[in-house]
Amino acid sequence: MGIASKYWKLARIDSFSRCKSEVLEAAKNFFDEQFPEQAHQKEVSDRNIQCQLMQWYQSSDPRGEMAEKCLRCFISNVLKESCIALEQKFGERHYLYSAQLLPLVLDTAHNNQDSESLTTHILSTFNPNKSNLSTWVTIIFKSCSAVKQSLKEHGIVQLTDWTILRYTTHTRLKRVLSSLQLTSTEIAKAVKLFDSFHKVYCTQLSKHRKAKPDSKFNTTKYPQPTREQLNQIAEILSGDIDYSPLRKIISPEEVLEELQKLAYILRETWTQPQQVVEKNNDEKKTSKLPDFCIEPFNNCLHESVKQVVQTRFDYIQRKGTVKGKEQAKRYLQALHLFHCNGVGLKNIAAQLGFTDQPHLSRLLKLKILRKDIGRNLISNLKKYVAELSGYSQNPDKLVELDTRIQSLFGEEIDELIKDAEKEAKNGYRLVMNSKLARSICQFINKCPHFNN
Amino acid sequence: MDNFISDLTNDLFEVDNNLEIINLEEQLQPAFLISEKSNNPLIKWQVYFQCLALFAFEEWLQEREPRLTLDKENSSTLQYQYANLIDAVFNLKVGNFKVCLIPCMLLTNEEVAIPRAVIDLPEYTAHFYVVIGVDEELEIAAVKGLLRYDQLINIKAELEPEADWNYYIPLLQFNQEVDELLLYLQCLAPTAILLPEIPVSRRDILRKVQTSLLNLLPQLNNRPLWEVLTWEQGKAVLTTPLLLNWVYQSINQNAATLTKHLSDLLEILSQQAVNVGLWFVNQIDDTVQTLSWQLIPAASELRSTSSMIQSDTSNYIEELEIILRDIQFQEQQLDIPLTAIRVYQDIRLNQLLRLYAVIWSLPEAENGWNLLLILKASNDNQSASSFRLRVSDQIEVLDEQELIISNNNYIYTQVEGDESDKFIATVISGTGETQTFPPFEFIRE
Repeated sequence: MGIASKYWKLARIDSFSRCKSEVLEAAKNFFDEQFPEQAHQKEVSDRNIQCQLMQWYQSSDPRGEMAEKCLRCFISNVLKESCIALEQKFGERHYLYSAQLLPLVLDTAHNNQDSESLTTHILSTFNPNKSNLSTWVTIIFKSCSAVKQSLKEHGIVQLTDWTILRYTTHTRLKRVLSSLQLTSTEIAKAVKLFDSFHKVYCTQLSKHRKAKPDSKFNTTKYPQPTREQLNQIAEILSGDIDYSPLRKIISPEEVLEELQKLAYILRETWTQPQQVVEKNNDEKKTSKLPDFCIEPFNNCLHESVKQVVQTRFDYIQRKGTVKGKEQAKRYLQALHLFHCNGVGLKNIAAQLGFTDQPHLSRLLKLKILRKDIGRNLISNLKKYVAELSGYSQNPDKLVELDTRIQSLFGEEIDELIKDAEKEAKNGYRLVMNSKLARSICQFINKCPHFNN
Repeated sequence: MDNFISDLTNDLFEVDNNLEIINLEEQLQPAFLISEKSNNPLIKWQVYFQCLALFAFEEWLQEREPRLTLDKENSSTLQYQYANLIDAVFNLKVGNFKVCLIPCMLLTNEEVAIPRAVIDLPEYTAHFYVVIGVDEELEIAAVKGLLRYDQLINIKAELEPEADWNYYIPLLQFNQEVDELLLYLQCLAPTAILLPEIPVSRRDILRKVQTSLLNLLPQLNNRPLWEVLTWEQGKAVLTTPLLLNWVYQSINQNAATLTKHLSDLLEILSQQAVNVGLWFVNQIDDTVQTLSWQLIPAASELRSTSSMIQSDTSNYIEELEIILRDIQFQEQQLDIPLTAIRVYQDIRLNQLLRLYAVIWSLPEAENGWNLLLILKASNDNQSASSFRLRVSDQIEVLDEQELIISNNNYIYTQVEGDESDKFIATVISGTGETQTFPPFEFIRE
């Protein structure tokens, strides 16, 4: 049951990329006229209305044109709700906002008849006998490549039943099922169902791997099994004495339902959050650097900063494209703003023209940068110290020294990283003053790529 | 609205923030092409995922520490006979370390399945076992977990392998500070983690299960090994590259020919070969006689010593001379040098038969050698019956000839090889009785 206004209020994108809802008077009058008994009710029967509208729209009925308008209104409203729902669920943790999503899916003021429009695609693929329009809209919405890409960039991804079933193996399924409170008959049936699914579905999949997906609206590599595939599975199961002892004919609908149940079970067991194991920190001793490491420390730190920042710079522009080169340069600029000028990430993003902060964070990868610098520092020191002491002659001693340096230097570096993190999280940000920040700053100032 | 949100988002996942996402967009196509070349449709998928895991790992190293060199030349995934049977990427090297990659699902925390072959067989163990989460639909991957060999062995001590020859280990038991892998690879000495030695002779294991393998392997029919073999039998197959090749070949080939070759291959693998190279340097008497081959003096010595040769031997000499002349007349290119070694053996299979072997080295090709085998009935008054002579090397059945006994006729077959070749000859009677001879090989001292 739904709200009548959905059929005559159109949500679309204005020329300032904002979402606007407007009442289409003609559509409202049409709707009130055609569905007088629904018009004044709080909730309307979507199923009946949609069937009727589709029938007019698909036939040469004179009411077809207005029916299409109503359907388009309805679709736009479900799309809008979907974007808002995603923001409600993921906005806070993933910086995902409906303002980013809406322009990807809604029609603009000019393009509503465009064949490229998502609404047009939904309308042309909708079958009122198979599902209700609202469900259909959300299915297409989630498989739309622009939406998927945007979600992916914010760390949100879709895992469909069919992907889960495709990835599962016979043994894995058995292990999951036997860990649940199921009878052996139930387990045997589920395994049988799963095996028949694999037999039919998986051997027919490889053709999907080859080319790019058919359209930008449907990027699913593991689509719901086709009617034909469900029939084939049903046929195998109907003839199987273990699955259907009374020789009952299994319908394709039953197969679909049972497969979805199975996927649900797997999803539940595999997506329980992992318990985090508390690391035992007692082992770390608070010993200082061995004396012979203090002197080379600064040199080695500078050396590692140079190696790691240069590596990252090279990696970003590895493809030699103009875009890559620009990105690499922006990388140095962002590092510089962060470490030398004490500018916060949000401001850096705005200043350097990143669409949002997650984009910048992915480019900077600050934590990883620090880890890599730390590791290379140990590696450099090890070389240096081993040379000095001739430790490399004795493998046992070298390993022992290596372990010691790792635990000692690990701590020194941890301190540096912690310092840097504290500074980075400070709202007002001061110019960073740690050894690490100063070293990074010094390197970038001298870097030719930065200065020209 | 709440229902709407949960319906809309119930199949959406939040990727763990701690995972460092590796983009796979450019790796999908090459991985797909590699998997397509596999001749087993059932494992294309497996190879595809192994490739994606391998390429993801390569990309990760490239981004994080390009000074570490990845050697994937010998990696199992690029050799289908391995990828076919063991679902992991092993025989991969980073610097002096061996690394084994385990592909799994990126988004879920399912148990990690590690094939016991890469843990229990020293041939395939690694210093580090790295779980690579792959989502090919989203075209992303991430390094999810890490275990050193010594840590894995401790965990394994508490586990039983499943019937499918996998150990299932919760992801939780892996070290998720995967950056430590880079630290190990960069700063640790490989000697810090000891890997088990490969046993010197795997032949003993193979000998024990030889008969059962000959019986069971032809029944594989594309099923996984664990459905057909015990682990002891599987171990023999998995540690014998030539048998892995055989299993991979068997996927699309004629079963009868392959079974014949399997029987010969198992003989080659389980028996000590006769190094005929030694026959050219003095040690003729010992080796030849213990193997019941009778030496015929070389043609070059014949003229000077002919008076000393006993008359029954001289029969063989003469018989062989005539046959060789006859063969060389038929095959103009065949030039048997005077220095060729000639031996014979009488065998009884329903009837008395004689097998001659003539061996010579090829002066023009370094390490090249020739083996000519001739089979004939020992005397002429035998009833008509048929025999077959078959020669195989490690790869295939090279030749099979049929001898129908009448009128003093003979059959022959000639093969050419180098130091890596081993040839095995089998004589089979019409009633199916067989006699196999220890394989020939030719290694110069």
